[in-house]
Amino acid sequence: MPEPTVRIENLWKAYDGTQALQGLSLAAFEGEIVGLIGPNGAGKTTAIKIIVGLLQWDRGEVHVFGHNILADSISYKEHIGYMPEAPALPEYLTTSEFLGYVGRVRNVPKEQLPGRVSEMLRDFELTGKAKETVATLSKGMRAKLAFAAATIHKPQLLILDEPLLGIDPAGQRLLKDRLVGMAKQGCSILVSTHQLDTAERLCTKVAVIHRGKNVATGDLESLRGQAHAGEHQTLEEIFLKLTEEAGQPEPDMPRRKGLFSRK
Amino acid sequence: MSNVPTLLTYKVKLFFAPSYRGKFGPLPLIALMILFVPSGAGVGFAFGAYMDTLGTEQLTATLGAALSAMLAFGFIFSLGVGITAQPSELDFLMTSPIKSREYLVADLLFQLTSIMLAGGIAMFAALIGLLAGMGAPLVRAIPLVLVMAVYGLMIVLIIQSVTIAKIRYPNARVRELTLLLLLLSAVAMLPALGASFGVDFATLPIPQAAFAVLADSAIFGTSPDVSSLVVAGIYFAGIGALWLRLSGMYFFYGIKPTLSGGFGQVDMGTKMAQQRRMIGLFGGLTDKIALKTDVGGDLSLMTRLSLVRIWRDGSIVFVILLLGLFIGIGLWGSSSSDEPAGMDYNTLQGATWPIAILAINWCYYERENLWIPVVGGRSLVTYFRGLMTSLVLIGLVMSAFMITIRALIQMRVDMAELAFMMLAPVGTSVFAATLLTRVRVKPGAFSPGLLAVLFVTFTGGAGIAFSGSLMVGAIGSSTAVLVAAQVVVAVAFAIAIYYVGQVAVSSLSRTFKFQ
Ligand SMILES: Nc1ncnc2c1ncn2[C@@H]1O[C@H](COP(=O)(O)OP(=O)(O)OP(=O)(O)O)[C@@H](O)[C@H]1O
Ligand SMILES: [Mg+2]
Repeated sequence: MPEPTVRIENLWKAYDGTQALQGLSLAAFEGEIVGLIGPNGAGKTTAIKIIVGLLQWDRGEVHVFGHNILADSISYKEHIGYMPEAPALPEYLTTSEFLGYVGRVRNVPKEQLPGRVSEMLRDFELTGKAKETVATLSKGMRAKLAFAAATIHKPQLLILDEPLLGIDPAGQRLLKDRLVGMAKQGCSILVSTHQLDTAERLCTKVAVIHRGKNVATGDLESLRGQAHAGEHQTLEEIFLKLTEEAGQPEPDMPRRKGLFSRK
Repeated sequence: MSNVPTLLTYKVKLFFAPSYRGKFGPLPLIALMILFVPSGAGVGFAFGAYMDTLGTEQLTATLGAALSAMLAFGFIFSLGVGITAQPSELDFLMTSPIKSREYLVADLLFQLTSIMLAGGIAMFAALIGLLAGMGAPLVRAIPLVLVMAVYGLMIVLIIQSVTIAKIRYPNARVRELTLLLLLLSAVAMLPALGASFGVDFATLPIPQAAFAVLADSAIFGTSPDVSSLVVAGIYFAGIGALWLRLSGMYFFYGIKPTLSGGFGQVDMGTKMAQQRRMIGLFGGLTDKIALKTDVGGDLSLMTRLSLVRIWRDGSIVFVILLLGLFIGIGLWGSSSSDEPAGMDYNTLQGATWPIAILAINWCYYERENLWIPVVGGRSLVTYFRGLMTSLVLIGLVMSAFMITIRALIQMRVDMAELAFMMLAPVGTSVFAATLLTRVRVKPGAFSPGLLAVLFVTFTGGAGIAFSGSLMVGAIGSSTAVLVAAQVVVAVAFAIAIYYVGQVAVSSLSRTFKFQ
């Protein structure tokens, strides 16, 4: 069996106090689109941030392109594309300056850069905004720009945290077509989403995450089996069944009292 | 008025609770208050020493200029937003059945409370410094504070009235009128510079003059002038009546959020929104300079990136204002005495605080964007090296400016002083950039990191400047050869500091933690 593009094993991560990941495992092979689905706070973003090198973890292993990312935590990033869940963008740059900056950071050769930038702006219907600052963009335009930035260097591993949020239907279609196209060319894609109908159609494999660990992983067929679900049940129904079985949400935090009371 | 206590509590809580709830409790807040006490006292003392050299008429005009500046600031604030509302207040308070006047009273009390809590000690230190600088007994601070408090209250009432009028009467040219008044209050500062136009400033029927005369008698312990009391009273009553009339009107639909979270707290969303507004405000002008990404090396790209940000997001305005402020105070101080010590301290402040502020702005506006170089791999090291280089460049331009002004005034150049002014911003920049690889401003809590940035960059920059100027001074300047040696040593020292900084920042940024 070939080595997966990204493989995480038994990953644990706690923020001060909160256990965010409790033994998550995951793998994505060449040409696969893997969906990460799970309730709010399940740990999707945490897992993604660990893979792209934004967050340290407590226990477990992360391998990208066959290399342990602890051993060399820099060079593996060259072939990764990443779109954050709520991307902070440099508001002061124009859209073309921003894409140029990201291209440079991602080692796109200087002479190819202007062409790549205008191609991206054209594809995502941002050419009219090329000379305007990011500060003036609408929410959906920002999302498109962030997606363009994630793919400008033609990555081999694309990691997207809820990429469709706020994008109009035509734009969503464009993005999904792009993902399928990139996967066909061998790119591995890891995408977290709450849009289960999309995940059902787009993803070759889905990992259902709950409270920091997998409750089920596989293609739709195998998820049905793991959930003891009927043949015609949708991913949504399977998802609800699996996460309900895995347990009720945790109780609320105790209330704070008084003007300046502390934790 | 029954909602006022609730509203006030909410506003105070929202603003101050985060700074109290951190790991160190209220300590960082207290430390911040104390940090500005020496500056406050220094500025007050310099001002007082200057005023001590003036005749009564000129003194009143100078006090009046300070009051005019406060009024002008009030007008500027009311042209902008005018009300200190948090974003959550817009969403939750202003959509509930609360009367305009209740909200305004709460906001007024909040502004007074927060000014006292945040800057109270420093302002008091400035007043005491002023009295000490003039050689007046310190108990006179009591009537002086009283006069200032009434004047301050009047300004807040003006700000609120203008804000409401602006919203409720969009066709009434409120902006134009405010601009005119702003201009007039600027004109009222001219007598302090000696341009009296043949009129006695003290007798002008404007509030600044009346309150300045009252402040005069507070400082000298004389009984207050009756006609000034009457003029001040008429203005206060008039503005109060106007406020009473306007404060009954609904105005919530015209409010923009000004505050971003609590005192010392960083709400990244609002910070970003503020930055967006700034970028929009300067847009047409500032995007004339473009960032060319397909030319230059990596260090050059990152340096230019940082310069473009500072240029476009309004940070440059802070730099110019602060620099101008300290140059102004320094000039004021130096004209009052032959001894340039006051000026040295103020040039030190002028050379360091703008850089420290740039560093803090970086924490607010830019740190979140660092995911781009972090996930990009190798570029984080160049990012920080570029950041440092850009700060050093800005610092050098600032010192060149200050050195020119100083040379023009003193008509001589002392090499040790020159070295001092060149090294202060270079040292500050190096400390600032190095610190930024480690300091983390946590959203949602008052961060001791911010204090560290302010304190360490200031003392670090000052330390480097002092040691450099001592070295240069020790060489002596009796012959041309020695002067040349001084230049070589100063420049070599600056380059060495920069180089050490680059090495430090490179190694520190390899282990940078984004989250
Ligand atoms: N910076 C942080 N500090 C403390 N706790 C955090 C932090 N970020 C996330 N958490 C906690 O870690 C857990 C997992 O959060 P994470 O953001 O990974 O969830 P998610 O699956 O992406 O959720 P969502 O669908 O809402 O985006 C949650 O309990 C969250 O409260
Ligand atoms: Mg998430």
